[in-house]
Amino acid sequence: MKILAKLGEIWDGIDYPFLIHKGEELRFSEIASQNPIDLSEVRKGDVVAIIGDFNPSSILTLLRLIDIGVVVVPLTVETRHEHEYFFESALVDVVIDGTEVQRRQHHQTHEFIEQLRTLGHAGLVLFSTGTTGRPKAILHDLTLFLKRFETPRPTLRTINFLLFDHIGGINTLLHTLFNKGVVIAPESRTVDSILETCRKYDVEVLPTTPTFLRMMLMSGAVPSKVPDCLKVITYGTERMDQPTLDELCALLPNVDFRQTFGMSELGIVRVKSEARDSLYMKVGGEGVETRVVDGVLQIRSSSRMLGYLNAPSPFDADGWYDTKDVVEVKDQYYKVTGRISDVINVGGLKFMASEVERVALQFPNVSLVKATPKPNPITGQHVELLVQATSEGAVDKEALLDFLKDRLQPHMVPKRIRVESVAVGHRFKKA
Amino acid sequence: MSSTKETKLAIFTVISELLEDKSLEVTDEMPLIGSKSVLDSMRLVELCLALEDKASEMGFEFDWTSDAAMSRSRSMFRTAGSLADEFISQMEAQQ
Repeated sequence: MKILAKLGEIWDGIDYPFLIHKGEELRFSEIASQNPIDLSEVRKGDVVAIIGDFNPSSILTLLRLIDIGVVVVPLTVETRHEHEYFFESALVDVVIDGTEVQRRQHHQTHEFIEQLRTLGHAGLVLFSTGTTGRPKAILHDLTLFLKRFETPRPTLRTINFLLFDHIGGINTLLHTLFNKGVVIAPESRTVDSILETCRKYDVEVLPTTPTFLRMMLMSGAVPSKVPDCLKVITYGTERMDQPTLDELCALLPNVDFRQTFGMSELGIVRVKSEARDSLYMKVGGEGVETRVVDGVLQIRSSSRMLGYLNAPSPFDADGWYDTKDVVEVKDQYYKVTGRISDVINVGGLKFMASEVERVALQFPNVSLVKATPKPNPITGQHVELLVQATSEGAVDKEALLDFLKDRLQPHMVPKRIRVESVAVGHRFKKA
Repeated sequence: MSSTKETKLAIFTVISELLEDKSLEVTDEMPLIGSKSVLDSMRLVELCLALEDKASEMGFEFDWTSDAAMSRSRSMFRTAGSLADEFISQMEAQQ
């Protein structure tokens, strides 16, 4: 059955919105009643870029494109300066911008796209947001991706920084649509505004990053401004530290804290925290296998992408993906202690930046820290530490250094400490 | 800008502050690397960072980590005198 017809059945007779975006409520009936744009130009198997957002028109077009069986490339206006590069990398045949549908001429083919065409499957292209090199075009088999939604699952009212061009955003949209859920997009990204949105719309799940949670603690909003409706706070995309998690667990005893983990290349991976106050997690889900090689987590997933359209495959011959995350293992649970690139090597002695950061965070008035390796011709590398003070008081550099010397091995002690602001990006990750 | 002599004295003072044995007198020939070195490698890193700060106060950049500096590093760190000479020559080059 076609996706639009199926969703029409699911939402038949239901009058609540599935999406609250920029303060406006959007019901599924409004999607279906949109004046559809002319897609007569689009053929099955085409690669189609759609520049949109979570508005009725874009969502309707996205669902119709899936029904036609195209390889869809969702993009947003924010990345407009890179669109030409995206069109070329993804071998885009048709561009949909507003109501305008335009065919693009090119004479390229790609084996993965041909593979989908042969199978008669729809596809999905997402771009990686890696910090090195140009974004990579990640191609998924959308027909297989959609199978996961055939099993009904419970939904909780979720706040989400919905991103139309991100696997998490698309996954949340589809999960909400297939399971009669409600998703709320926050109006602004400040701690106060997000907590107020949670209160206003009875949000049950708040997905965050560790940096956001540290800022939330610093702002003094915990626990007074955290509404009772909130049942679950998830955190992911960067490494969490134990002192922050412990503090949150103590201040918010009724909230369940859960870690998330995943990457666009692998599709959706299920994660289960060992306990609300534990950084150990089980990584699994249907068709997902894990192993640890030289301390680094590798994952093999049946829902992985077909491959990159503009880069060599990151999978080994047996389909394993190197996450580059260094982990500690306890029973079948993993704790990420850092990235391979976070390994600091001082005179041949290796340790993680996080080990230094964990100790520094225990010092009075320290809110955010970042330990970085600096190259030098004597010991290869040494550690420098950037520290941000809380609003309550200043950080005494000399005292902090003595504190670290008492608790760290000599080679791990930062050789230079700077007290200033730690940069935080727009997705609440340390820059 | 300080005179060469004053600068050298200032550098030797930084070195002596990092010595475990405070009774040792810093001389041109005092070895900084090798088996007879008076500083361990971590102390030597601290010394270079302290010199970086000192140079910054004096209005120039002391380079000991770039590729160019690395290629000179063996001779640069041989003795207290050679390190002082390198510091002074970088200072003069940037004047």
